[in-house]
Amino acid sequence: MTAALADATPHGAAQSARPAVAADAAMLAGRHLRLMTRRPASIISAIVLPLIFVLLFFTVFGRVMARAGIDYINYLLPAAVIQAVFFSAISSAILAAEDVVGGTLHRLRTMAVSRSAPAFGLLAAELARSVLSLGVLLAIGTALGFRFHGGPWQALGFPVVMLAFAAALVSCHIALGFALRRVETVTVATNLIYFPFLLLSSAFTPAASFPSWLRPVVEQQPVSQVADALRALTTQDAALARPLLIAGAWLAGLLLLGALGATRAVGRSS
Amino acid sequence: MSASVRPALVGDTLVMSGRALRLTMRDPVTVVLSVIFPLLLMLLMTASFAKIVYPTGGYGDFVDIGLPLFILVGIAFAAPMTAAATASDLRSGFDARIRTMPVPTLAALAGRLVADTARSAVTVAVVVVVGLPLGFRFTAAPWGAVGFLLLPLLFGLGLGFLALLVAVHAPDVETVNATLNPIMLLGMFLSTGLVPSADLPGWVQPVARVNPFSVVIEAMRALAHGGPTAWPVLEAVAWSVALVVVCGALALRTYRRRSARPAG
Repeated sequence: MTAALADATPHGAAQSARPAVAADAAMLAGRHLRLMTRRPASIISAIVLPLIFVLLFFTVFGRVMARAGIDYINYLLPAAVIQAVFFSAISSAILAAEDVVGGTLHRLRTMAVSRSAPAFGLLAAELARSVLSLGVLLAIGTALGFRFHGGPWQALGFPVVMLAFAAALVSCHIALGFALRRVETVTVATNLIYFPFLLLSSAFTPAASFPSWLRPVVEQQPVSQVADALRALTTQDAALARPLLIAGAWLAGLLLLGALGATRAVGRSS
Repeated sequence: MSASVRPALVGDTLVMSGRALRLTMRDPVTVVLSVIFPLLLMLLMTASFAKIVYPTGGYGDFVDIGLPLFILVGIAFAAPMTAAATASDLRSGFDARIRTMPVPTLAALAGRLVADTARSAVTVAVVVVVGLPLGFRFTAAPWGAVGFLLLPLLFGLGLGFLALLVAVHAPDVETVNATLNPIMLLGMFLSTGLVPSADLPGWVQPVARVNPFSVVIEAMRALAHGGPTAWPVLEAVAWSVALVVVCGALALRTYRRRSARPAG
C-alpha cells in the first residue's frame, strides 16, 4: 500500500511528507537539549543537585552508617544515580507539560512530523542528561572512595541498568506531563511520586532499618529492585541473575506503561 | 473627606494580608511545600533513618528529636515561593497600581509578611499535631511549649526576608528557587537536626554548631524538652533578628526603588 502510494506520487514529495521518526526525534532532542542549556535550573538539577545530595548524605550519615557496618559511599552511589534519574524524569514531565501548554505539541501535529517523535525526542534528550549526571556522580563517587568491585562486564552493566531505568521512568513521566498539562500540577504530582518511591526504598538505607510492617513494601517496590540490581553490579561475586531479572521485568513493565500512556495522552492533547 | 484619603496602615495591611493569604492558599506548590512536604519528609525519614541514627532507640525517639528540623523544612522551602510571589507584584505592576492610591507604601509588603507568618504557623501546627501521636513530647514547662511554637515563626520571618532579598534581584521563580534551595539544603543537612553533633564528621561539627538552623533547632529542643534555655533561645533570637534586619534592610532598599519605577 505504502509502496503503491510512493510510486504514484513524485519521489521527492513522498519522501518529504513521510514522517521519519528517528530523524524527527533527533531534531526535537536537540531542541530540548539546547533549551536545557539555556535554563539555569535545568543545569543545576542535572549537575549540582545530584552532587550536593551525594555529598550531604555521605557527610551527614557516613558515620552512623559505618557504625551499622555499611561502607556508605558504595551503598549511596546507586541511590544518587537513581535520584539523578528521578530529576531527569521530573524535568521531562515539566518540559512535556510546557510543550502542551505552549502549543508546541499542537504545532508539531499540524506538520509532517511523526506522532511519536515529540515523546522520543524528549526521552533521548533526558537520557543524554542522565548520562551527564552519571558521569559527574561517578567522578565525585570515585573521589570519595566508590569502587566497582566486580569485573569490567559487571561495571559495564551499571550504566546499562541505569539507562534502562531512566528510559522507563522518563517515559512514564512524559506521559504524566502530556496528560496533566499544568506545570504546577505536574510539579506536585511528580514530587508525590519521587519522595515516597525514593525514601521508602532500600536506596538510601537497608530495608532492615524500616518498621517490620513496612518492610515487604520497601523490599518489593521497583526503586529498591533497581537499587539492588545496581548494587549487585558493583559487588564482587554477587549473584546477578535474580536482581537483574526482577529489575528488568519491572522496567519492561514501566516502559510499556509509559509508552502506552504517552501515546494516548498525545492523541488526546489537541 | 480628609479621613478617606489618609492612609490607614493597619486597615490597609489587613486587607493586603487577606489578599496575600488567599493567593498563598491558591498556589498548590506553596501549600504542598508548607503542609504536605514536611509531613511526608518526617514520616519517610523516620521510617528509613531512625534505626540507623539511633540504633538503640525507637522510631518515636527520632520524631521527638527531629521534629524541629521538619518544621523548619516546611518553612524554609516555602519561603522562596512566597518571596517570589511578593517580587512578582513589583513586576506585574500591582505595586505601581497601589502606589497611585491612598494606601501606605509598605502596606502591600507588610501584608505579604503577615501572610508569610500565618503560613509558617500552619506548618508548625500541622507538624506538631501529626508529630504528637508519633512520639513527639513537650516535657518542659508550658511557657517552653509556647516558645517552641513561636521561635520558628520569628526565624521564618528572617528566612522570608532572605528569600525576598534574592527574589527582588532574580528574574523569575525558577532562579529564586535555584539560588535558595541549595542554601536551605546546606543549612538543614549540615546541622544537628538529623544526626547528633558527635556523629557528624570532625570538620562539620564546628559548621553545624554555628549554623543558624542548628541554633534554632537546639533552642526549640531545649524549649520542648527542658535543660538550659536562656542562652540557646537568645542565640536563636539573635540570628533571626539579624536575618530580619540585614536582609530586610537590603531587600527593602531594592523593593522601594523597584516599586517607585515599576517598568524596570
